[in-house]
Amino acid sequence: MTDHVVADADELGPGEGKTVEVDGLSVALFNVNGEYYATSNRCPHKGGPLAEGFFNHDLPTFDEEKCALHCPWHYWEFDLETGENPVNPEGSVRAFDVSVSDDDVVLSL
Amino acid sequence: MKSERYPVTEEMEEAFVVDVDFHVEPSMETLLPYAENSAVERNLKIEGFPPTTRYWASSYATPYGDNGRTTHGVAETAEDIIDVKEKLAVDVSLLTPGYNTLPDVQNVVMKDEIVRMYNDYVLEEIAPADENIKVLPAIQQWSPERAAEEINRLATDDSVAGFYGFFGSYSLLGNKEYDQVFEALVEHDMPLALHGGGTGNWPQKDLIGNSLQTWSEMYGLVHPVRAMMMVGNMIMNGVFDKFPELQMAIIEGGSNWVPFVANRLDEVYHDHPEDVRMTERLDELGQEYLQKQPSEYLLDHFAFSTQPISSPDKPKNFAAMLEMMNAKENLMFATDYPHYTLELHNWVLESSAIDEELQERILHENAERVFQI
Repeated sequence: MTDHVVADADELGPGEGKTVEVDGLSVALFNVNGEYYATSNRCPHKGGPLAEGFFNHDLPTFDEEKCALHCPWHYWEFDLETGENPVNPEGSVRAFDVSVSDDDVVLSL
Repeated sequence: MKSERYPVTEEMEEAFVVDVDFHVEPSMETLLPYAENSAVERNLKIEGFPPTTRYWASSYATPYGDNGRTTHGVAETAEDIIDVKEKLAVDVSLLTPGYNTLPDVQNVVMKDEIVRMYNDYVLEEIAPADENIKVLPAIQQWSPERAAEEINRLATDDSVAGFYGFFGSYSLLGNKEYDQVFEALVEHDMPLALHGGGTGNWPQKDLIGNSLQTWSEMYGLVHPVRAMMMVGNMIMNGVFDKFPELQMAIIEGGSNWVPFVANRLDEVYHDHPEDVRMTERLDELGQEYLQKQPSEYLLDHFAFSTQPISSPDKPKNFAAMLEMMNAKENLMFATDYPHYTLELHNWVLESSAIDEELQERILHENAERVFQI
Protein backbone atom coordinates (compact mmCIF):
# COMPACT_ATOMS: atom_id res chain seq x y z
CA MET A 1 0.00 0.00 0.00
CA THR A 2 1.36 3.41 -0.95
CA ASP A 3 0.52 6.75 0.60
CA HIS A 4 -0.41 9.61 -1.68
CA VAL A 5 -0.88 13.23 -0.69
CA VAL A 6 -4.10 14.19 -2.41
CA ALA A 7 -5.03 17.55 -0.88
CA ASP A 8 -4.14 20.19 1.66
CA ALA A 9 -6.00 19.67 4.91
CA ASP A 10 -7.77 23.02 4.59
CA GLU A 11 -8.63 22.58 0.94
CA LEU A 12 -12.08 21.13 1.50
CA GLY A 13 -14.59 22.66 3.86
CA PRO A 14 -17.01 20.46 5.82
CA GLY A 15 -19.58 19.00 3.45
CA GLU A 16 -17.39 19.42 0.38
CA GLY A 17 -16.04 16.86 -2.04
CA LYS A 18 -13.63 16.85 -4.96
CA THR A 19 -12.19 14.53 -7.56
CA VAL A 20 -8.56 13.53 -7.24
CA GLU A 21 -6.51 11.36 -9.58
CA VAL A 22 -4.34 8.71 -7.93
CA ASP A 23 -2.31 6.28 -10.01
CA GLY A 24 -4.75 6.70 -12.89
CA LEU A 25 -7.73 6.13 -10.62
CA SER A 26 -10.44 8.73 -10.29
CA VAL A 27 -11.16 9.06 -6.58
CA ALA A 28 -13.88 11.01 -4.78
CA LEU A 29 -12.55 12.74 -1.65
CA PHE A 30 -14.87 14.17 1.01
CA ASN A 31 -14.69 16.22 4.17
CA VAL A 32 -17.58 15.19 6.40
CA ASN A 33 -17.59 17.45 9.44
CA GLY A 34 -13.80 17.38 9.59
CA GLU A 35 -13.41 13.65 8.88
CA TYR A 36 -12.01 12.72 5.46
CA TYR A 37 -13.37 9.86 3.37
CA ALA A 38 -12.62 8.59 -0.12
CA THR A 39 -14.34 6.25 -2.54
CA SER A 40 -13.92 5.48 -6.20
CA ASN A 41 -15.47 8.32 -8.15
CA ARG A 42 -17.55 6.34 -10.62
CA CYS A 43 -21.04 5.20 -9.67
CA PRO A 44 -21.47 1.56 -10.76
CA HIS A 45 -24.98 2.34 -11.99
CA LYS A 46 -24.55 4.77 -14.90
CA GLY A 47 -21.14 6.24 -14.22
CA GLY A 48 -22.21 9.33 -12.28
CA PRO A 49 -19.40 11.30 -10.55
CA LEU A 50 -19.62 10.55 -6.82
CA ALA A 51 -17.39 13.51 -5.91
CA GLU A 52 -20.32 15.69 -7.00
CA GLY A 53 -22.69 13.71 -4.80
CA PHE A 54 -24.21 14.73 -1.52
CA PHE A 55 -24.09 13.44 2.04
CA ASN A 56 -27.13 12.68 4.05
CA HIS A 57 -26.26 15.41 6.55
CA ASP A 58 -27.45 17.82 3.86
CA LEU A 59 -30.88 16.31 4.18
CA PRO A 60 -33.81 16.95 6.49
CA THR A 61 -33.64 13.28 7.42
CA PHE A 62 -30.02 13.50 8.61
CA ASP A 63 -28.91 10.49 10.61
CA GLU A 64 -25.60 11.03 12.41
CA GLU A 65 -24.85 7.32 12.52
CA LYS A 66 -25.50 6.74 8.89
CA CYS A 67 -22.69 8.29 6.95
CA ALA A 68 -24.25 8.00 3.52
CA LEU A 69 -23.13 9.36 0.20
CA HIS A 70 -25.60 9.74 -2.68
CA CYS A 71 -24.72 9.81 -6.36
CA PRO A 72 -25.81 13.15 -7.90
CA TRP A 73 -27.42 11.47 -10.91
CA HIS A 74 -29.83 8.80 -9.66
CA TYR A 75 -29.23 8.99 -5.90
CA TRP A 76 -27.67 5.56 -5.39
CA GLU A 77 -26.52 5.33 -1.78
CA PHE A 78 -23.11 4.27 -0.45
CA ASP A 79 -21.64 4.01 3.03
CA LEU A 80 -18.75 6.48 2.98
CA GLU A 81 -16.62 4.34 5.28
CA THR A 82 -17.00 1.04 3.49
CA GLY A 83 -18.35 1.91 0.02
CA GLU A 84 -21.20 -0.55 0.56
CA ASN A 85 -24.51 -0.01 -1.13
CA PRO A 86 -27.16 -0.89 1.49
CA VAL A 87 -29.83 -1.62 -1.12
CA ASN A 88 -27.82 -3.61 -3.61
CA PRO A 89 -24.53 -5.08 -2.29
CA GLU A 90 -23.45 -5.88 -5.84
CA GLY A 91 -23.63 -2.17 -6.61
CA SER A 92 -21.02 -1.13 -4.03
CA VAL A 93 -17.93 0.99 -4.64
CA ARG A 94 -14.37 0.77 -3.39
CA ALA A 95 -13.55 2.85 -0.30
CA PHE A 96 -10.03 4.00 0.56
CA ASP A 97 -8.21 4.78 3.79
CA VAL A 98 -7.65 8.48 4.29
CA SER A 99 -5.75 10.23 7.06
CA VAL A 100 -4.51 13.71 7.80
CA SER A 101 -0.81 14.08 8.44
CA ASP A 102 0.46 17.53 9.31
CA ASP A 103 -1.38 19.67 6.77
CA ASP A 104 -1.78 16.96 4.18
CA VAL A 105 -4.68 14.67 3.35
CA VAL A 106 -3.12 11.28 2.65
CA LEU A 107 -4.83 8.47 0.78
CA SER A 108 -3.53 4.91 1.02
CA LEU A 109 -3.80 2.82 -2.12
CA MET B 1 -17.67 24.63 -20.59
CA LYS B 2 -16.91 21.28 -18.98
CA SER B 3 -18.57 20.28 -15.77
CA GLU B 4 -17.40 17.92 -13.04
CA ARG B 5 -20.99 16.82 -12.77
CA TYR B 6 -20.81 15.26 -16.24
CA PRO B 7 -17.53 13.35 -16.55
CA VAL B 8 -17.20 13.40 -20.31
CA THR B 9 -14.27 11.45 -21.74
CA GLU B 10 -12.36 12.29 -24.89
CA GLU B 11 -14.10 9.41 -26.65
CA MET B 12 -17.48 10.81 -25.62
CA GLU B 13 -16.47 14.25 -26.92
CA GLU B 14 -15.40 12.82 -30.23
CA ALA B 15 -18.59 10.85 -30.84
CA PHE B 16 -21.29 12.61 -32.81
CA VAL B 17 -24.41 12.49 -30.67
CA VAL B 18 -28.05 13.32 -31.25
CA ASP B 19 -30.18 13.53 -28.10
CA VAL B 20 -33.86 12.90 -28.87
CA ASP B 21 -35.22 13.92 -25.45
CA PHE B 22 -34.03 17.28 -24.11
CA HIS B 23 -36.88 18.72 -22.07
CA VAL B 24 -37.59 22.42 -22.13
CA GLU B 25 -40.14 23.58 -19.61
CA PRO B 26 -40.34 27.38 -19.69
CA SER B 27 -42.15 29.04 -16.82
CA MET B 28 -45.55 30.50 -17.60
CA GLU B 29 -44.02 33.93 -16.99
CA THR B 30 -41.56 33.29 -19.81
CA LEU B 31 -44.39 32.33 -22.15
CA LEU B 32 -46.68 35.25 -21.26
CA PRO B 33 -45.48 37.54 -24.09
CA TYR B 34 -46.87 34.94 -26.48
CA ALA B 35 -50.36 34.90 -24.95
CA GLU B 36 -53.17 35.86 -27.32
CA ASN B 37 -56.14 34.87 -25.19
CA SER B 38 -56.59 37.55 -22.52
CA ALA B 39 -58.55 35.27 -20.17
CA VAL B 40 -55.78 32.68 -20.26
CA GLU B 41 -53.17 35.40 -19.82
CA ARG B 42 -55.00 36.68 -16.76
CA ASN B 43 -55.15 33.25 -15.18
CA LEU B 44 -51.56 32.40 -15.94
CA LYS B 45 -50.48 35.67 -14.31
CA ILE B 46 -52.49 34.90 -11.21
CA GLU B 47 -51.87 31.21 -10.85
CA GLY B 48 -48.98 30.14 -13.08
CA PHE B 49 -49.28 26.66 -14.53
CA PRO B 50 -52.94 25.63 -14.37
CA PRO B 51 -54.15 23.20 -11.71
CA THR B 52 -54.06 19.47 -12.29
CA THR B 53 -54.48 16.30 -10.35
CA ARG B 54 -51.32 16.25 -8.26
CA TYR B 55 -48.56 14.54 -10.18
CA TRP B 56 -46.70 11.65 -8.64
CA ALA B 57 -43.01 12.39 -8.45
CA SER B 58 -39.97 10.66 -7.05
CA SER B 59 -39.85 12.79 -3.88
CA TYR B 60 -41.22 10.00 -1.69
CA ALA B 61 -38.54 7.65 -2.84
CA THR B 62 -35.36 9.71 -2.85
CA PRO B 63 -33.14 10.69 0.04
CA TYR B 64 -32.98 14.20 -1.32
CA GLY B 65 -36.75 14.61 -1.42
CA ASP B 66 -36.38 16.09 -4.88
CA ASN B 67 -39.22 15.59 -7.33
CA GLY B 68 -36.58 14.85 -9.92
CA ARG B 69 -37.78 17.11 -12.69
CA THR B 70 -35.16 19.84 -12.28
CA THR B 71 -32.35 17.79 -10.78
CA HIS B 72 -29.97 18.86 -13.51
CA GLY B 73 -31.20 22.41 -13.79
CA VAL B 74 -33.67 24.41 -15.83
CA ALA B 75 -32.83 25.30 -19.41
CA GLU B 76 -35.28 27.71 -20.94
CA THR B 77 -33.21 30.02 -23.12
CA ALA B 78 -31.09 29.27 -26.18
CA GLU B 79 -27.97 30.16 -24.17
CA ASP B 80 -28.91 27.71 -21.43
CA ILE B 81 -29.47 24.94 -23.94
CA ILE B 82 -26.25 25.51 -25.86
CA ASP B 83 -24.33 25.49 -22.57
CA VAL B 84 -25.92 22.22 -21.43
CA LYS B 85 -25.41 20.56 -24.83
CA GLU B 86 -21.73 21.28 -24.51
CA LYS B 87 -21.54 19.93 -20.97
CA LEU B 88 -23.30 16.72 -21.95
CA ALA B 89 -21.16 16.37 -25.12
CA VAL B 90 -24.28 16.31 -27.26
CA ASP B 91 -24.10 17.68 -30.80
CA VAL B 92 -27.76 17.91 -31.77
CA SER B 93 -30.61 18.27 -29.29
CA LEU B 94 -34.25 17.62 -30.03
CA LEU B 95 -36.23 19.85 -27.70
CA THR B 96 -39.24 18.16 -26.15
CA PRO B 97 -41.89 19.94 -24.07
CA GLY B 98 -41.34 19.32 -20.39
CA TYR B 99 -44.98 19.76 -19.44
CA ASN B 100 -45.66 16.14 -18.55
CA THR B 101 -48.61 17.23 -16.43
CA LEU B 102 -50.28 19.10 -19.25
CA PRO B 103 -52.55 16.19 -20.18
CA ASP B 104 -54.12 16.46 -16.71
CA VAL B 105 -55.13 20.10 -17.05
CA GLN B 106 -58.90 20.12 -17.17
CA ASN B 107 -59.40 23.45 -18.89
CA VAL B 108 -59.02 22.86 -22.61
CA VAL B 109 -58.76 26.57 -23.50
CA MET B 110 -55.84 26.90 -21.09
CA LYS B 111 -53.92 23.93 -22.39
CA ASP B 112 -54.59 24.78 -26.03
CA GLU B 113 -53.08 28.19 -25.41
CA ILE B 114 -50.09 26.80 -23.49
CA VAL B 115 -49.29 24.47 -26.39
CA ARG B 116 -49.39 27.32 -28.90
CA MET B 117 -47.42 29.68 -26.65
CA TYR B 118 -44.77 27.04 -25.96
CA ASN B 119 -44.40 26.16 -29.64
CA ASP B 120 -44.12 29.79 -30.71
CA TYR B 121 -41.68 30.60 -27.92
CA VAL B 122 -39.35 27.69 -28.71
CA LEU B 123 -39.45 28.21 -32.46
CA GLU B 124 -38.99 31.97 -32.28
CA GLU B 125 -36.71 32.43 -29.28
CA ILE B 126 -34.60 29.28 -29.09
CA ALA B 127 -34.30 27.34 -32.34
CA PRO B 128 -32.92 30.20 -34.49
CA ALA B 129 -29.89 30.48 -32.20
CA ASP B 130 -28.34 27.16 -33.21
CA GLU B 131 -28.90 25.00 -36.28
CA ASN B 132 -28.18 21.96 -34.11
CA ILE B 133 -31.24 22.60 -32.00
CA LYS B 134 -34.30 20.88 -33.43
CA VAL B 135 -37.82 21.08 -32.09
CA LEU B 136 -40.64 18.62 -31.52
CA PRO B 137 -43.60 20.97 -31.02
CA ALA B 138 -46.42 19.86 -28.77
CA ILE B 139 -49.78 18.89 -30.24
CA GLN B 140 -53.22 19.30 -28.70
CA GLN B 141 -53.73 15.56 -28.38
CA TRP B 142 -57.07 16.10 -26.62
CA SER B 143 -58.42 17.57 -29.84
CA PRO B 144 -57.38 15.71 -33.02
CA GLU B 145 -58.75 18.53 -35.15
CA ARG B 146 -56.65 21.21 -33.45
CA ALA B 147 -53.64 18.89 -33.33
CA ALA B 148 -53.84 18.51 -37.12
CA GLU B 149 -54.11 22.28 -37.48
CA GLU B 150 -51.01 22.77 -35.32
CA ILE B 151 -49.07 20.28 -37.43
CA ASN B 152 -50.12 22.10 -40.61
CA ARG B 153 -49.20 25.43 -39.05
CA LEU B 154 -45.68 24.49 -37.99
CA ALA B 155 -44.46 21.57 -40.10
CA THR B 156 -42.72 23.71 -42.69
CA ASP B 157 -40.51 25.44 -40.12
CA ASP B 158 -36.94 24.24 -40.77
CA SER B 159 -36.33 23.63 -37.06
CA VAL B 160 -39.28 21.26 -36.70
CA ALA B 161 -38.16 17.62 -36.83
CA GLY B 162 -41.43 15.99 -35.80
CA PHE B 163 -44.24 16.46 -33.30
CA TYR B 164 -44.72 15.47 -29.68
CA GLY B 165 -47.59 13.83 -27.86
CA PHE B 166 -48.11 11.39 -25.01
CA PHE B 167 -48.68 7.67 -24.70
CA GLY B 168 -50.81 8.28 -21.63
CA SER B 169 -54.02 9.97 -20.60
CA TYR B 170 -55.97 10.11 -23.87
CA SER B 171 -57.77 7.72 -26.15
CA LEU B 172 -55.25 5.40 -27.71
CA LEU B 173 -54.18 6.54 -31.16
CA GLY B 174 -55.68 3.52 -32.87
CA ASN B 175 -58.94 5.41 -32.45
CA LYS B 176 -60.12 6.47 -35.88
CA GLU B 177 -60.63 10.11 -34.88
CA TYR B 178 -56.84 10.49 -35.00
CA ASP B 179 -56.70 9.82 -38.74
CA GLN B 180 -56.70 13.57 -39.36
CA VAL B 181 -53.56 13.86 -37.23
CA PHE B 182 -51.84 11.07 -39.17
CA GLU B 183 -52.91 12.62 -42.49
CA ALA B 184 -51.26 15.90 -41.50
CA LEU B 185 -48.10 14.13 -40.32
CA VAL B 186 -47.79 12.04 -43.48
CA GLU B 187 -48.55 15.01 -45.71
CA HIS B 188 -45.61 16.85 -44.20
CA ASP B 189 -43.43 13.74 -43.84
CA MET B 190 -43.19 14.27 -40.09
CA PRO B 191 -42.80 11.61 -37.38
CA LEU B 192 -44.83 11.66 -34.18
CA ALA B 193 -42.96 11.16 -30.91
CA LEU B 194 -44.89 9.97 -27.87
CA HIS B 195 -43.66 10.43 -24.31
CA GLY B 196 -44.99 9.37 -20.93
CA GLY B 197 -47.04 11.84 -18.96
CA GLY B 198 -50.32 12.72 -17.45
CA THR B 199 -52.60 11.56 -14.69
CA GLY B 200 -49.52 11.14 -12.64
CA ASN B 201 -48.93 8.61 -14.05
CA TRP B 202 -51.81 6.10 -13.79
CA PRO B 203 -55.31 7.33 -12.99
CA GLN B 204 -56.03 6.77 -9.33
CA LYS B 205 -59.66 6.09 -10.12
CA ASP B 206 -59.16 2.53 -11.19
CA LEU B 207 -58.17 -0.42 -9.10
CA ILE B 208 -54.64 -0.60 -10.44
CA GLY B 209 -53.96 3.12 -9.99
CA ASN B 210 -55.41 3.14 -6.51
CA SER B 211 -53.20 0.21 -5.51
CA LEU B 212 -49.92 1.78 -6.56
CA GLN B 213 -47.85 2.76 -3.53
CA THR B 214 -44.29 3.07 -4.76
CA TRP B 215 -42.38 5.10 -7.29
CA SER B 216 -40.72 1.91 -8.52
CA GLU B 217 -44.08 0.72 -9.82
CA MET B 218 -45.33 4.13 -10.85
CA TYR B 219 -42.35 5.24 -12.87
CA GLY B 220 -40.69 1.90 -13.54
CA LEU B 221 -43.71 0.12 -14.95
CA VAL B 222 -46.41 2.60 -15.91
CA HIS B 223 -44.53 4.23 -18.79
CA PRO B 224 -43.63 0.92 -20.50
CA VAL B 225 -47.10 -0.55 -19.93
CA ARG B 226 -48.76 2.48 -21.45
CA ALA B 227 -46.29 2.50 -24.33
CA MET B 228 -47.03 -1.17 -25.01
CA MET B 229 -50.77 -0.56 -25.03
CA MET B 230 -50.39 2.40 -27.38
CA VAL B 231 -48.21 0.49 -29.82
CA GLY B 232 -50.48 -2.56 -29.84
CA ASN B 233 -53.60 -0.45 -30.29
CA MET B 234 -52.21 1.43 -33.27
CA ILE B 235 -51.02 -1.75 -34.94
CA MET B 236 -54.16 -3.83 -34.41
CA ASN B 237 -56.43 -0.99 -35.49
CA GLY B 238 -54.74 -0.78 -38.88
CA VAL B 239 -53.15 2.66 -38.53
CA PHE B 240 -50.16 1.57 -40.59
CA ASP B 241 -52.25 -0.10 -43.29
CA LYS B 242 -53.94 3.22 -43.87
CA PHE B 243 -50.77 5.29 -43.31
CA PRO B 244 -47.88 3.13 -44.49
CA GLU B 245 -45.53 6.12 -44.41
CA LEU B 246 -46.22 7.04 -40.80
CA GLN B 247 -43.18 6.98 -38.51
CA MET B 248 -43.51 6.89 -34.72
CA ALA B 249 -40.98 7.38 -31.92
CA ILE B 250 -41.55 6.13 -28.38
CA ILE B 251 -39.66 8.25 -25.87
CA GLU B 252 -38.96 7.13 -22.30
CA GLY B 253 -41.24 4.14 -22.71
CA GLY B 254 -38.40 1.64 -22.48
CA SER B 255 -37.49 -0.84 -25.19
CA ASN B 256 -36.69 -4.17 -23.50
CA TRP B 257 -40.31 -5.16 -24.07
CA VAL B 258 -40.18 -4.84 -27.85
CA PRO B 259 -39.20 -8.50 -28.53
CA PHE B 260 -41.94 -9.73 -26.21
CA VAL B 261 -44.67 -7.56 -27.72
CA ALA B 262 -43.58 -8.47 -31.26
CA ASN B 263 -43.84 -12.18 -30.55
CA ARG B 264 -46.92 -11.98 -28.39
CA LEU B 265 -48.99 -9.87 -30.78
CA ASP B 266 -48.07 -12.17 -33.67
CA GLU B 267 -48.96 -15.27 -31.70
CA VAL B 268 -52.32 -14.06 -30.44
CA TYR B 269 -53.22 -12.55 -33.81
CA HIS B 270 -52.42 -15.85 -35.53
CA ASP B 271 -54.63 -17.68 -33.06
CA HIS B 272 -57.47 -15.16 -33.21
CA PRO B 273 -57.38 -13.04 -36.38
CA GLU B 274 -61.09 -12.56 -36.92
CA ASP B 275 -61.79 -9.50 -34.85
CA VAL B 276 -59.50 -7.04 -36.63
CA ARG B 277 -62.16 -6.69 -39.34
CA MET B 278 -64.43 -5.17 -36.69
CA THR B 279 -62.08 -2.30 -36.04
CA GLU B 280 -63.37 0.88 -37.66
CA ARG B 281 -60.36 1.58 -39.82
CA LEU B 282 -60.01 -1.92 -41.25
CA ASP B 283 -63.77 -2.11 -41.74
CA GLU B 284 -63.57 1.09 -43.74
CA LEU B 285 -60.62 -0.24 -45.73
CA GLY B 286 -62.55 -3.45 -46.37
CA GLN B 287 -59.69 -5.58 -45.07
CA GLU B 288 -60.21 -9.01 -43.63
CA TYR B 289 -56.75 -9.19 -42.15
CA LEU B 290 -53.83 -6.89 -41.46
CA GLN B 291 -51.56 -6.54 -44.46
CA LYS B 292 -48.50 -7.53 -42.45
CA GLN B 293 -47.70 -9.34 -39.24
CA PRO B 294 -48.03 -7.21 -36.09
CA SER B 295 -44.30 -7.60 -35.40
CA GLU B 296 -43.48 -6.16 -38.81
CA TYR B 297 -45.40 -2.98 -38.07
CA LEU B 298 -43.72 -2.71 -34.69
CA LEU B 299 -40.24 -3.00 -36.13
CA ASP B 300 -40.94 -0.98 -39.30
CA HIS B 301 -42.84 2.00 -37.89
CA PHE B 302 -41.56 2.54 -34.36
CA ALA B 303 -38.25 3.79 -33.06
CA PHE B 304 -37.38 3.95 -29.36
CA SER B 305 -35.34 6.26 -27.19
CA THR B 306 -32.56 4.67 -25.15
CA GLN B 307 -33.40 6.35 -21.87
CA PRO B 308 -34.25 4.34 -19.82
CA ILE B 309 -32.02 1.59 -21.16
CA SER B 310 -32.38 -1.25 -18.67
CA SER B 311 -29.43 -3.20 -19.96
CA PRO B 312 -29.03 -6.80 -18.84
CA ASP B 313 -25.84 -7.38 -16.82
CA LYS B 314 -24.42 -10.00 -19.17
CA PRO B 315 -23.19 -8.49 -22.46
CA LYS B 316 -24.35 -11.52 -24.44
CA ASN B 317 -27.88 -11.02 -23.13
CA PHE B 318 -27.72 -7.31 -23.88
CA ALA B 319 -26.48 -8.06 -27.41
CA ALA B 320 -29.35 -10.52 -27.93
CA MET B 321 -31.88 -7.98 -26.68
CA LEU B 322 -30.53 -5.31 -29.00
CA GLU B 323 -30.66 -7.67 -31.94
CA MET B 324 -34.20 -8.87 -31.16
CA MET B 325 -35.51 -5.32 -30.93
CA ASN B 326 -33.68 -4.36 -34.14
CA ALA B 327 -31.66 -1.68 -32.37
CA LYS B 328 -29.62 -1.28 -35.53
CA GLU B 329 -32.61 0.49 -37.04
CA ASN B 330 -34.75 1.57 -34.12
CA LEU B 331 -32.79 2.65 -31.07
CA MET B 332 -32.00 6.35 -30.60
CA PHE B 333 -29.92 7.90 -27.85
CA ALA B 334 -31.65 10.20 -25.32
CA THR B 335 -30.52 11.99 -22.16
CA ASP B 336 -33.89 13.00 -20.62
CA TYR B 337 -32.23 16.23 -19.42
CA PRO B 338 -32.90 17.79 -16.90
CA HIS B 339 -34.75 15.02 -15.11
CA TYR B 340 -33.02 12.94 -12.45
CA THR B 341 -33.25 9.96 -14.78
CA LEU B 342 -30.59 11.55 -17.01
CA GLU B 343 -28.21 9.30 -18.90
CA LEU B 344 -25.08 10.20 -20.85
CA HIS B 345 -23.75 8.18 -23.78
CA ASN B 346 -20.85 6.56 -21.91
CA TRP B 347 -22.66 3.20 -21.85
CA VAL B 348 -23.02 3.13 -25.64
CA LEU B 349 -19.27 3.48 -26.04
CA GLU B 350 -18.30 1.16 -23.17
CA SER B 351 -20.57 -1.85 -23.64
CA SER B 352 -18.95 -4.85 -25.31
CA ALA B 353 -22.42 -5.71 -26.65
CA ILE B 354 -22.29 -2.71 -28.99
CA ASP B 355 -19.86 -2.65 -31.91
CA GLU B 356 -18.77 0.53 -33.70
CA GLU B 357 -21.43 0.28 -36.39
CA LEU B 358 -24.18 -0.06 -33.79
CA GLN B 359 -22.70 2.81 -31.77
CA GLU B 360 -23.08 5.10 -34.76
CA ARG B 361 -26.63 3.92 -35.35
CA ILE B 362 -27.68 4.49 -31.74
CA LEU B 363 -25.81 7.74 -31.19
CA HIS B 364 -27.00 9.57 -34.29
CA GLU B 365 -27.80 7.68 -37.48
CA ASN B 366 -31.16 6.24 -36.43
CA ALA B 367 -32.34 9.61 -35.11
CA GLU B 368 -31.12 11.32 -38.26
CA ARG B 369 -33.22 8.95 -40.34
CA VAL B 370 -36.34 9.04 -38.16
CA PHE B 371 -36.35 12.83 -37.71
CA GLN B 372 -34.72 13.61 -41.06
CA ILE B 373 -32.03 15.82 -39.58
